[in-house]
Amino acid sequence: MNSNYDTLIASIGLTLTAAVAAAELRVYPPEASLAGVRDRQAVVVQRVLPTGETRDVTDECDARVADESIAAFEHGVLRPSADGATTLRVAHDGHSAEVPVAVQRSDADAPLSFGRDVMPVFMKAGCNMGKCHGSARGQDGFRLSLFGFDPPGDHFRLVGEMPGRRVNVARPEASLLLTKAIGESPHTGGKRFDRDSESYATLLRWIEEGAGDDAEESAADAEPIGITVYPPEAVLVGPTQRQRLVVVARYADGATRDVTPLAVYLSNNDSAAAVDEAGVVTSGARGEAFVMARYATFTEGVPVIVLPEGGGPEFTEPEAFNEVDRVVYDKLRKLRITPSAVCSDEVFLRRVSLDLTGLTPTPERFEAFLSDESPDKRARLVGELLRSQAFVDVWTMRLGELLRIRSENQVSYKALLRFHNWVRDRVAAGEPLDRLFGEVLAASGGTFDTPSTNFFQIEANSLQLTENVAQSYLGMRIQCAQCHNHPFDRWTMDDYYGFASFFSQVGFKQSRDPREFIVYDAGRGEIDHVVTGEPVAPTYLGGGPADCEDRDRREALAEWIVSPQNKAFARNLANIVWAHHFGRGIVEPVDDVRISNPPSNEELLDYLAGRLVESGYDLRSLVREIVTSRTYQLATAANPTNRHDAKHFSRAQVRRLRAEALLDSISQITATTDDFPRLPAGARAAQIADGATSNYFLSTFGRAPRETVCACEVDVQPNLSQALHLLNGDATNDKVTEGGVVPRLLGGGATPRQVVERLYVACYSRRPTEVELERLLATIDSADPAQSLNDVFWALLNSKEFLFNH
Amino acid sequence: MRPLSRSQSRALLLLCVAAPAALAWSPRVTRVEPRGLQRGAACEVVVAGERLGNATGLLFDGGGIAVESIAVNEDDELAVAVRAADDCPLGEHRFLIVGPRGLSEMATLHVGPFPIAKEQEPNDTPDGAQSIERGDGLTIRGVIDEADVDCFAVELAAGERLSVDVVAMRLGAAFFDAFIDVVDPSGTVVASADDDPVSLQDPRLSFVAETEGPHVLRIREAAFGGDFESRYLVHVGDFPVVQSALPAGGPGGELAAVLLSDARGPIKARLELPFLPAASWLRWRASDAGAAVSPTPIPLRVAELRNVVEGSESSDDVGAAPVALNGVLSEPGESDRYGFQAIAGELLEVEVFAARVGSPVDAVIAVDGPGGPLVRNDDDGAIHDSRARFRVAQTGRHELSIRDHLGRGGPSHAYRIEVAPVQPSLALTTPILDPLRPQESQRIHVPRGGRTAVLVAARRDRFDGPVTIDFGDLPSGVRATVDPIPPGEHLTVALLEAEADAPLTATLSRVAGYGDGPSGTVIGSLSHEVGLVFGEPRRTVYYGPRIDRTPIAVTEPPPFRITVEPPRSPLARDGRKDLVVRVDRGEGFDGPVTITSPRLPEWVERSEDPVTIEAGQTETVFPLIATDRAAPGEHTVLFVGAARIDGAEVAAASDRTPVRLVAPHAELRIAHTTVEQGNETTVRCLVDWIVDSPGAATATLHGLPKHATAPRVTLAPGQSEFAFPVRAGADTPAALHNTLFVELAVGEPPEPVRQFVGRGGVLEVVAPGGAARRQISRLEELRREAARARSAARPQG
Repeated sequence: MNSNYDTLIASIGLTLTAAVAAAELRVYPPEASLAGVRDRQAVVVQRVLPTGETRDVTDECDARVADESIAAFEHGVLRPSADGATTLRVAHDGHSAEVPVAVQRSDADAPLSFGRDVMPVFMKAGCNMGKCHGSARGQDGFRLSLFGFDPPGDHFRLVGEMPGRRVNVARPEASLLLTKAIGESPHTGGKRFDRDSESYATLLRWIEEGAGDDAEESAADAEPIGITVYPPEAVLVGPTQRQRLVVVARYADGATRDVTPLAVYLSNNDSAAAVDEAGVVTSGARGEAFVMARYATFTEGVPVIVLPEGGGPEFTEPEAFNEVDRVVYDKLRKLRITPSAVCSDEVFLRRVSLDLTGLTPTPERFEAFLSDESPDKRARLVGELLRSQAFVDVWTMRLGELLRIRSENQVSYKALLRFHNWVRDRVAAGEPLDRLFGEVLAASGGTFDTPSTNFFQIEANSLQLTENVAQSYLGMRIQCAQCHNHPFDRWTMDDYYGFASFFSQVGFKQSRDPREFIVYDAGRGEIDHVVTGEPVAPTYLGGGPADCEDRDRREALAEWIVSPQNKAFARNLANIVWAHHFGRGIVEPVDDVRISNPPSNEELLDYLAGRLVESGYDLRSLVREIVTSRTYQLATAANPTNRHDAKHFSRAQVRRLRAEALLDSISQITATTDDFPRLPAGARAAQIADGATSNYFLSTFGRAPRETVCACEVDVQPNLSQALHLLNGDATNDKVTEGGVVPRLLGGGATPRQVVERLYVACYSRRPTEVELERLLATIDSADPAQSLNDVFWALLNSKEFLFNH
Repeated sequence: MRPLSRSQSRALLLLCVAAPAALAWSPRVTRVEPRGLQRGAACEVVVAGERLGNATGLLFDGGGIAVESIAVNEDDELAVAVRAADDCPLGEHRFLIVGPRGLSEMATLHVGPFPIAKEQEPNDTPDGAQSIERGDGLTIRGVIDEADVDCFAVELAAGERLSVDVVAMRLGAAFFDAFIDVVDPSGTVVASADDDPVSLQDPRLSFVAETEGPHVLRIREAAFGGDFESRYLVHVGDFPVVQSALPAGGPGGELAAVLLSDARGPIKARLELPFLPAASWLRWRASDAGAAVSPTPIPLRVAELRNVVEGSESSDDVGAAPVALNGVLSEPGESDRYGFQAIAGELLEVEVFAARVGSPVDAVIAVDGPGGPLVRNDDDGAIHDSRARFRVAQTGRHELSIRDHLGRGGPSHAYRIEVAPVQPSLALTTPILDPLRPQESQRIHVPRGGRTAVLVAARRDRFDGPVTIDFGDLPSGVRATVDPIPPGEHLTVALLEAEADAPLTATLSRVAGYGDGPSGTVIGSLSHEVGLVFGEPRRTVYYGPRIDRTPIAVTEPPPFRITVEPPRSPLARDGRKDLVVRVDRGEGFDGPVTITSPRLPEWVERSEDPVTIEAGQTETVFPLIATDRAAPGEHTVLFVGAARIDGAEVAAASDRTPVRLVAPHAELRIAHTTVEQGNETTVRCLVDWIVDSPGAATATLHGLPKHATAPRVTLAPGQSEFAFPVRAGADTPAALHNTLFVELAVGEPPEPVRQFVGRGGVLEVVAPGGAARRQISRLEELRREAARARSAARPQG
């Protein structure tokens, strides 16, 4: 799977189309307010061409402050002169725009704040990174909190731990903090900034002002409530194009602050768009990058598309089958990618059968489908498959992975089987997914009589449970925030412990049956914040504090998680369902939603989530919409524009079958059954209830053991053991012999030619070509055709065409 | 399980090493098939096991089943022809196999009301279901192999009731957790059952058919387990399946109750409760008009308490305790409240019976007095049933409330609460010595002409007087001798002796205890929780009856006898006495015999090494070591010899031997002495004789460091000072050795009184030439003195 950004969009040429609105000039931020003599506001002017291309014209444009007595504009930065209001006018190439400018307290020069002014320097200079002083043990005897999660602690270690050394108020310039940072004293971390830098000036002034900490009430004010990065997007054509970024922090009192020089910048694809420490993006090779700025605990990013210079094939938009296609095309249009053609009936039948039922289509279904002439036969096939028991099995298995249904020391097989059956009954009955997941979160009762309570028995550690819920329900990995604020996401330790607090009152007790536990709301118990040592009130992840007075905290959480206030749940489910049918999610991996891992098509994810909510969280209706889209039915064959696209769904990807689908298909085709422990005879691998149950085949082909909720447990990467097991193991050879398919066909009067045709249909869902037939029939021993036909059968099962969904 | 405290684990250790005589070369039962028969019918039961060859009979714990013949198929298999009388009580009948060498473990037979048919495989799918004629009721016996499903097709008319009652775990054989469901003619599951508050892991159900046609009953293991031992009986018929009753008990006399939770709704019933001397249980089988009797009884509590039934009278004031409150939490979230009067100073106990009367309620109770809340209790004192004790602080109206722990409620959520003053009580048990074979401690084998020793423990509640123990219904020719359990102690040894010509029979003995309570005799009895089915976690008992009689059998004498030579001198506190134990082996036995003692006097211990009389030897010494906390007085000890014969363990007990424990004869101080490595010194000892005319004695110095030696010293009668010449070796570690003590052997050989005195004596070893320099300073001397005083003041043990 090609997951590198740098090879994306390799063949895009710049074609001028009328798709993008007329050229315009945009100025960011949309308004500027300056307060205090030190304040500043960087401004970026972006020209948008009719082609969609953008250019940073800040330095080229004609920019003027209407009333120059109020503010001055120089080198792209506004600075205050006197209190009042005015506008900044910019003009470029016949276009113009303006932004209002307000100046307050122009002569005020307030002392520096530790949290607002000093802490950002440590982040910017990298002092509090994990490999430097942010390490848990510190570095060379000096520790800062990792990414600044503990400002009061940092202040103490700077000022109070070794009085007079790190910070010397009597002789500020002699402070080790400064002399080490500018390389004047020996410093393992080397020189971090210059004596004449803004960072140095800030630290020096702070020490000169007495190196004070923020008063408790103003400490909260020093915390921004968010940041905005401008411009919101950029489409750069050709290499070495520059685009500067402006970062504005927002505060609870409505104030804003230009933190462009204090923010830390990061690109997720340096070869397409690199960013320097001043926040200037420079285009490189063609591709798409997400350029992020981090300030305080916030990370925000903007997408930057880099297109090559010169022409290329024109974007042609095929007919859309449904709205999914239209949303996908909107993105492909920007990227100048033309989707592939629609796949054949044979390919569609096999693909949709494997995705929806985990089984290859039977020859009977193949014949019926191919001979069906009606135009809606694909939709009808989808309907049939959605109603099948095998569909229920596939999604019971997928949900079992999300809910970690697995027997452990404390979890008896009986409890687990009841949980599995509970999920299965609900999937079969088409219960809305929000209700199913909500019931699990709020479950109370015995692990036998209320099987959903097993979720809490399987993972009884509150913090682990918190992380599992975030990952399974919201697709978010918040593990980092247990010990420090998340460096590439918005989650802080406060968020983490606030969320964990929902699970601090889960009570357990023994039931009448020694194997059964009762999960209940104990009504007491707290989880303490690891820094403050104080209990944290239950707080929704990104949703504010919860009112849990006199109620089960888990019920409050369950209500919120599936409520419209929480968009992440529907988006996560939609993404998981999408990923099941395309081999990769719109956010990939599906359980790693974070700001620094944006969806490849934000609008598509929003659309699918919206559809899921509209349908009342009906799994089948979302699956139907996805698999009846043209996008799902695309062929794998690439055209010149999409050869290198793997993440914008412009063609189908070749995917290895999941372990369960592979084994079940082999067994179905060879007319054999597998013997799994503690399952009724004839049960299929997709029906295994217990993550701990496996066999050599399933483990080799990457069946999820459900030891964690991580989507990465399902492994569809090929490896040598798999190839050797198929070649030499009992999976194919023994099953071919044991099932006796070939002798039965021969005994029924079939000719070797008919047998080969039938095997092709069973394994590949297509008839053999004449060349294939000719070559194979030449190897058949007419005296004992069964043996050589079994060899053909074995070879088909070992082929790539069989092992992959395409 | 709660971890044992140190003293408990110590007690357990002592018990484990002191296994008494109940070990068997007795028969062993591993399988009984079939386990069910119909009332009034005969049946041949195959009993498989070990050492069954000369079995002579079956000892049943109740009447109704007659053994018509016993044939030995092979040594490990019996064919027993049994017949259940026409009036044989329904349900479980327990038995042990009796042989000349003892009793087997307990096994069970189930007598049911219906004819019995056998499962016919293949019947794994609804299409291949075995057709059964339900008639007036039918019992099928079958087996669930791994992942097996047994299907039975029953023709039902619309409106007809089908009742199903599985006996699987309750067969007392294998761990088999069954699951049943019923599929209607259209293939829809119309009823299913797994666990049940009355029958626990055994499912029961009743449902009324909506459509006419063949319905398929499916049975499987709940988690698709099963094996060849997973046998079941399933009763199929038209009988009531009830969960509990309202009221769930009452005093002796007639009781009008509503039986809750059958498919046809509640059933009104009238029944006669027996008059019993103490609160007890009645297991009652319901039947509704004209229909068959329910195979599973529901438990009813019989107690001489005033009965209050919710709804029938005001619950605002139910009067004063003792009283029994009966109700139903019929709606989710319901909490029932009762007002009752109590008098300051009373010690009251509130006990909920919910799980124990077959109700799904997991009770939480609260008692509020006039002066505020007294108790809030959601503990699971007795299998999820709350129990709380409190002393009434203020006379007046108290309020008792009950709710379900999960706020559940429903028509079958009955409960009964007994509120009564706490009465002294007494319970007797036999400690389980082998956790893997608990039944070994729950039955007694008495060899002809020999004796056996059994530990009996008493659990007193609200009294501390002595407890005497009486064995009733002993086999003929057997006599029991039991020392009373004195106040403050909880264990005694019962010695059972059989005459040489006692018949080889077995009985179920009632063992009663009589405690000396504050206001009269407190009566208790010996009962056993017999575990029949064990499962995860940690070999928990899933099924097993509680029996209040103890199986006792007279057996052939073992081929050896154990005797003890009565000691001719006493055991001194902080002293040692070696008792001589002898074995007389009979013809054909020459193996080793391991000697243990079931119980030693308080603070008297034995050596940690096992004591064995090896093959070819006839005697050994069994050392008794009295610690410095042992109390002087007259005690008795007895010994048990155990040997393996033909793979089975066989035991015999000695007679009891008196042992007199006395205080030490003298106090002794060892003078602090310094010696150079490789040099000689004398260690002076001052003796303070406590007894008059002690006689001659020998003194031995123990606890010397290595390479240091001192000869034994002989003392004249009454000598108050003597010295040991001590030689320190060149390699004796140069250090302060405070481990010295003296063994005084007072009196004439061969049995002087051995006692250990002068503990903590100090010998300081210094390098050559260091003696002069090693004079300790005054400060150091004071420090050492203070340290010695501290260690002397520290409580010992």
